[in-house]
Amino acid sequence: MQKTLNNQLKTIIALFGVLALVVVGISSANAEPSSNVAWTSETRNLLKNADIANGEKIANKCGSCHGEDGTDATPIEEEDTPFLAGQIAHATYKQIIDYQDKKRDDKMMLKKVKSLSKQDVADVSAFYATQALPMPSVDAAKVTPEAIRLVTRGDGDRFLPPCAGCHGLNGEGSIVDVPALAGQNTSYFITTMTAYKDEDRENDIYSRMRFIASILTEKEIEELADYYASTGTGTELLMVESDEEEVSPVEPEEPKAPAEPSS
Amino acid sequence: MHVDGTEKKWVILSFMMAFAMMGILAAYAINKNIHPPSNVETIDSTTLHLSEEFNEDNLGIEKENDGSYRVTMVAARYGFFPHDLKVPVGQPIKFRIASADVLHGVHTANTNMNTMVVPGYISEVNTTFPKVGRFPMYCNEYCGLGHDYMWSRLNVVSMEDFEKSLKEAD
Repeated sequence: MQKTLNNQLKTIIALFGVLALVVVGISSANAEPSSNVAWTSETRNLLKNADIANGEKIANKCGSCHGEDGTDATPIEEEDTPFLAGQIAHATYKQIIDYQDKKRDDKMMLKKVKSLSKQDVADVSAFYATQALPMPSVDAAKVTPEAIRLVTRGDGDRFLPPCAGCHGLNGEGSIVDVPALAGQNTSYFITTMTAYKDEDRENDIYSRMRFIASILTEKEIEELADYYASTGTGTELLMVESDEEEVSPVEPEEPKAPAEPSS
Repeated sequence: MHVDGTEKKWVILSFMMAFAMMGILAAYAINKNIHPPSNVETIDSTTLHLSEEFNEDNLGIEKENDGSYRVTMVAARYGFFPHDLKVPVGQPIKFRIASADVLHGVHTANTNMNTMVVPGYISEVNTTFPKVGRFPMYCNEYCGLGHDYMWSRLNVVSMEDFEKSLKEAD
């Protein structure tokens, strides 16, 4: 009888032990990276040696949503599919791999990209990078001084760095994986920033964008969307800061009237 | 080769001044026990976020078995992660910092916390913050266009407030 009790006790202790191990396992499994993409020389070489022609073939299958050249043909107010034309290849590569790894949650995109090899992903990303950035879709006059200030100066009081520090003054993005924002459609921009703000999207390594979006107000996100939609192909440096404290859009110079001939 | 007497005197004086300054620096370093960082530990910067120690979820402050504290931080263009760090006053703290990309520096104004963060290496700094306060943390090695905006915040709080914030975090 005593032996049976001892055996039962041992079984219970063993079960608790297994349970503890499972709990420890789950908690350590929580320490997952936000993205599995690492810019090793192997990954960089995939993009460097990408086959643009193969990328174009793959991109044809993306055309129904992203448009033939990577710009969505549907009206921007109704669609939040991103423009891919002119996007930094590394940025597109990272997002597609994140979809494959379920680091970025989108069932439709997962279905579309899951069969692509890493080389295919590099090829299609490199193809989009060869395209020109989208044309501006918002009138520069709509851009607010607050948006210009956030882009060029940030807000030191709120620990907000300027967007231009990483994304460039014209929203051209930079290597390695800072995406171009120039010409991006407003609805996609707002959806993305809101997802970062609400932590619905977490594939930004070290919470870089989650941190920034959490500080921005909804109004500021909308104003920034307009700023970037007003840039793109055909636009030069859109805004510059004047010497004074006030920040204002660049006014086109009035052609000077020819001097009156002196009589 | 003819060297003018006055010129010769100035050359000798310049060398003497340079050697005197080197001597002062050496004496100061020996007297104050100042030395280059002794920790030489390598890490792959490109896969930093995939490593156990510098994984995003493992950054921040942890209490060691001996009662001291360890802060794990990442410097990457253009920020320090975590952005907002709370540490207890008067406690020995070991900072372990790695760069995810290029050369950075970590300088905490009005404290003796200052180190270079070289990609591929883990920088280690042992320090104690004697005063409660909020201190800005800057990058002091030019790291790119956003260098000016690479900052973070260090909050040195009383032990009581620190314990309270840990409980709230749990």
